[in-house]
Amino acid sequence: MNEELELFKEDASEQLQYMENALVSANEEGIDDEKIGEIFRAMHTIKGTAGMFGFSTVVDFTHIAENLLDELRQHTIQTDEHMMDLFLKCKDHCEILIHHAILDEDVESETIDAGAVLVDDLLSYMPNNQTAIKQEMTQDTKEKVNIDVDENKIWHVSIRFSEDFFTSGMDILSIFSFFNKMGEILINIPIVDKIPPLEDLDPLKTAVGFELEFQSKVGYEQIEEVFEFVMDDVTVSIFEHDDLVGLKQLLSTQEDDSLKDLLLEQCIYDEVELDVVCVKEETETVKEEIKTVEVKKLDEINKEFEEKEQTKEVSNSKKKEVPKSFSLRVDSTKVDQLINQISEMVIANAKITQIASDREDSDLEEAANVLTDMLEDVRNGIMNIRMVQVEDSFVKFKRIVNDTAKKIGKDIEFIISGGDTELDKTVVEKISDPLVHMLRNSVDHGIELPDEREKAGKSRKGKVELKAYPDAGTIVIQISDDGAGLDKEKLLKKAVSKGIISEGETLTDKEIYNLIFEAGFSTANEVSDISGRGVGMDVVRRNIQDLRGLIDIESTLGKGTKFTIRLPLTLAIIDGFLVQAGNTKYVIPLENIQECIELTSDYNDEADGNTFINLRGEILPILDVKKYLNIGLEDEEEKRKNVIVVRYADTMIGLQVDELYGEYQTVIKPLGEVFENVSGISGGSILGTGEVSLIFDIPKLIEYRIQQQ
Amino acid sequence: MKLKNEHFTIYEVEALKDEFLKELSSHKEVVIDLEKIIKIDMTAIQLLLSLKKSCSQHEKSFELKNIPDNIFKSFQISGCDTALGV
Repeated sequence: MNEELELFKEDASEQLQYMENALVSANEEGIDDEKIGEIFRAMHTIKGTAGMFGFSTVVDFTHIAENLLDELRQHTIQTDEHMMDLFLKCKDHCEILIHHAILDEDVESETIDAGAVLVDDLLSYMPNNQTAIKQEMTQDTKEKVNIDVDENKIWHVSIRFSEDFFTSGMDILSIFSFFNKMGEILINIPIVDKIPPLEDLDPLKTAVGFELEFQSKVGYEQIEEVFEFVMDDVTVSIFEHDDLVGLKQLLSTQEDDSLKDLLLEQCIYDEVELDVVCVKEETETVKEEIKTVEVKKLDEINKEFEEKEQTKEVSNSKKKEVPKSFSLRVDSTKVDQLINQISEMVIANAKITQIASDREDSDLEEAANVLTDMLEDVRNGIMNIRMVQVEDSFVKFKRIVNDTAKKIGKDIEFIISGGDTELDKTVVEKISDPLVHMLRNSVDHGIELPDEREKAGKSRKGKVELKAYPDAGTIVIQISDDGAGLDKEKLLKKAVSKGIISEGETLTDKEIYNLIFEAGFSTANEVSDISGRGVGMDVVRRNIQDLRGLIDIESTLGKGTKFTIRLPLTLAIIDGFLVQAGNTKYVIPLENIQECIELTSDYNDEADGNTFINLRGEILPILDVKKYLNIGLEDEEEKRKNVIVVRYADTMIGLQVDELYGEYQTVIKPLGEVFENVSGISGGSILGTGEVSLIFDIPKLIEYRIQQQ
Repeated sequence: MKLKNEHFTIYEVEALKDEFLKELSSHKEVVIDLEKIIKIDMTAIQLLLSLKKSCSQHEKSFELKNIPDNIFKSFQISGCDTALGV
C-alpha cells in the first residue's frame, strides 16, 4: 500500500472512531449540536478524502449520511433514538466499504443489500430530498442537492504537480471526478508546454499541469482539502474568478507570459483584466493611457495586493513570535526505527563508558557521562512520541459493552476512569483485544440478569468499571464488576471434570481463580456467542504475558470480580540494575527494585528449609539466584552476599547475588527459542564489554519463590 | 496501431512508450486505436500528449480512433480532448 493510501486508511479509521465516540456519548448523555457537528465533520472528511482516491462507493454512501447530518445541523430535522443507532450502523457500513475500497475488492452482495437498507432508512428522514439523492446515486450525476444557484461561486484553481506525483498512487482523473462531485468543472485547460516529446519523456514523471474554472457552493477550505493528502506533491493556487488580486499573485509566480497568453486564448480572462493585473511598474504616461476606470481598478488591486502582502508579512512575523503547535502524522515504523537506532547507541555508549573506566581516563569518562545523559534525554523524547493516552482506546469499548449488554438483555453502567494515563502505543494496541474479551466476559458471565440482581438485593443495573493508573513503574488496568463473582466450588468441579486438576487437590483461592485462564475452561452454563467457547481467557493471559505483564483476579461471591493487569510502560529499553551471580551478569529492571542490602549473618534466619530474612520486622523470602539457576556454587563462602529487594504488585522477595554494579540502561534483546522455557529470564542484553547479560523476569521469579513457601 | 490491452494506465505506459516510438519511426501517420481500452489514467493521457507533440515535431499526423465513451469522458474531464484533437 502506498503512503497516501496508508494515510487515508489511518485518517478514515480515526474519523470513524471520532464518529463512534460522539455517537456513543450522544446515546449516554443525549445529543447536542456539538456532537452532531463532530459526527458531520467525520462523515464529511471521509467523503472528501475517499473522493480523492475515486472510492465512489464510499463517497455515494457517506454523501447520503452527510446530507441527513447537515439537516440535523440546520435543525430542519429533529433527532430521535433510532437515528443514533442508524448512524452507528452507517459507521460500521462505511468501515466495510473503506476496507474493500482500499483493497480494491468488489463489495459482497450482502453488504450492498445492507447498504441499501441503511440508505432507505437515512432517506426516510429526508422525504424532500429522496428523489434528488436517489437520482444522484443511480445516474452518478453531480452532487448538487439543494444547491442554490445564487450561492454558487466560480473558482479558479491552478494545479501543478511534483514530477513524482504519478507514483504517489493517486490518479489526477480522480481529483477531477471529485471536483465534479463538489460542483462542476466549467473549463479545464491542461498545461502541456512542459510535456517533452516522446523521445525525452519519462512516462512515470508528471509534466502536465491544469488551470480549472470550477463552479460550486463549496468554500476555499473545501477545495484545498481535496489536496490534503498530496500537499507535498502539489502546488495549488485557488481564488475566486473575480479576485484579480489572486490572479495577479498567480501570474507573478510565472517565469514568462505563457500562462497569461493561455488564459486569454481560452477566454478565461479578458484582455482588460489581464492587462490590469500585469502592469507592474506603472508610469504617469501609462496611467494616462489607461482609462480612468481601469486606473481606479488597478490602484485598488495594487493597494489590496500590497495590503495582503503586508498582512502576510505581519502574520509571518507573528508566527515567528508565537510558534504554533501542530501535530504531525508519522508512520509508526519510523519511530520504531529511531528506537532501534537509539537502542544500538545505548549499547555503543555502554562500551565507551566501559573503555573510559578501564583506562581510568577521567576526561573520556566525563564525556561519556554527558553522552549518557543526552542519550537518556533523546531516548525519553522518542519514547514519549510512542506514548498515547489510553482514553481513545477505552472509549471504543463503550460501544462493545453497550452492544453486548443490549444483546443479552442486561442493563449496564460502564464507567471509565484514568483515561489520561499514558502507555506505549504498541502496548495499547496489543492489550486492546484482551480487554475487549475480558469486558465481554464481565458483561456476559459476571453481571447477572436484572431479575436475578433484584432477587439478590442489588440494583437492576449492573456496573462494570475500567480503570487505568500508573503504579511503581508499571501501568495498572483494572476491570471490575459488581456481578455474581467467581464461584470457587463451581470452578473446582469444572476443572476436575475437564481433567485440569485431579479430584481432592488442594488449591489456594488465587489458584482456583486462575483456573479460568486454563485452555478450554468455560464457566458459563451455556456457551454464548458473546464471550466465545472458553478459548479466550488463556489467550488473554498469554497476550498479557507476551507484553511482560501480569494478570491477577480478586473475587467475592455475590459481590463481583476484579481483574488487575499490570503492564510495563514500554517494551524496548529498560533502566536496569547490573548484578553478578557466579560468572554471569544479570540485569534487574530498576522499576522493580526497592533497596539493596548486604546479607550479613544477622539477617539469616532459616525456616522450613527455605531462606528468609527479617527485614525491619517483616519476613522477606530470599531467592538465591545461583541455586535457582544451578550455577557457580564453588567459592561460595568467600564472596560477599548481597540481596536486592524486588517488588512486583504487592509482593516482595530478596534476590541473593554476589556483586552489585549499579544502574545500567539496557536494551532488551530477545533470546530466541532455545531460551524460551527458561523461566525467570525475560531477555538478554549486550554489555559495553561485549559480554551478554541476562535480564531477570521479576514477576516469574517472585511467582516461583512464593510457590516454594 | 491497435492497443491490445484493456488497461492503459501507469502499469502499461513504459512498455507502450517503446511501442509508440517504433510506430513513430516507421509510419508517416500515427493512428492509435483505443477500441479495446476500458481503463485509462493521467499517465496514459500524458503519454498520448507527448506522442502528439513528437508527431508534430516530425511533421507526422496523429489520430486517436475508436475511442470508447468512458475514455472520451476521461479526455473531456481532464480538458485534454481538445489538446489531443478528439
